[in-house]
Amino acid sequence: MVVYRTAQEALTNVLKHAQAQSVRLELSDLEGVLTLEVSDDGRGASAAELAKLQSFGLLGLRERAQGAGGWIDVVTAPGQGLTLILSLPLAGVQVEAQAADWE
Amino acid sequence: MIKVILCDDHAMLRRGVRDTLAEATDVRVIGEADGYANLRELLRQQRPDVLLLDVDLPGRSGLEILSALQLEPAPLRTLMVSMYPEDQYALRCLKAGAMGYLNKGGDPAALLTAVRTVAQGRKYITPEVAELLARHLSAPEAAQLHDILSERELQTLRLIASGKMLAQIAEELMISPKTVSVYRARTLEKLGLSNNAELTVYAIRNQLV
Repeated sequence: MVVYRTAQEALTNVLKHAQAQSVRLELSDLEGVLTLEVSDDGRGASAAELAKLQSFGLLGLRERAQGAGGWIDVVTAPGQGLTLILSLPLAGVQVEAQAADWE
Repeated sequence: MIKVILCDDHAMLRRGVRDTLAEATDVRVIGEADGYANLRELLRQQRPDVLLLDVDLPGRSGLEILSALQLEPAPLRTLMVSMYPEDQYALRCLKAGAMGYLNKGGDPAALLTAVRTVAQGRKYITPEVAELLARHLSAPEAAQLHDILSERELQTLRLIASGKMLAQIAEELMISPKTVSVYRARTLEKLGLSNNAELTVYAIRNQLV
């Protein structure tokens, strides 16, 4: 449900703000984490614009993701499109980002 | 005198190989190992001219060991030995840096020829492997293993291979370190690798960095 709502919201954002030619959705559940990537080739956003976007749907998405144990990344720069990544650990999976598991 | 080390988990097989090699006066088996730990220990003490390495070892496979050994400044001349027919592993072994591939079901005399050829620094290619190579050459541009990576997984691979640390990669890709970890785990899984060193070797071999 979180994934569905996120995809929906992300696509709505693309339609409203991005002026994109195309948008790509990628879904993966390898290695115990479900990832949804929504990438558009639109106008992207500067840091300031991104902050404004937070007040739109993005904040809601973050909260929704966190509620389900996941998190959201937003990758963008002016003129370079915007990618929203939802990561959702599947049942019982702990994601560690430490130097310890790096080697 | 050609010094040889055997690495195979089956003692009987090592015995067979040792006996076959003992028939030649110019070859001497200077050590035997049953796995990676054992082999490491042996290699610390002495350096063979040729390493005979089983593809199918328990724990770290022969292919993994081969890749690890290739990271060293002067890689050992390694001859891969396997019970699998050539078409399954031969090309992968050669790509990973092996000097030759020998089927355990083959002629014992071929073993001696192979050891002598490899000791001279030449590749030992059986007719079966030669045919595979030829077919591989004429095949349309083979799909690369990393074609199955998503764009961001590929970026992660490149950044790891260029020596970046987790935090730097996260910053560069503008994603959280946790997400980088997920992409890294997936990349390892998809490419059948187990750590960053192997990732780096893969990236260099495939000219991704």
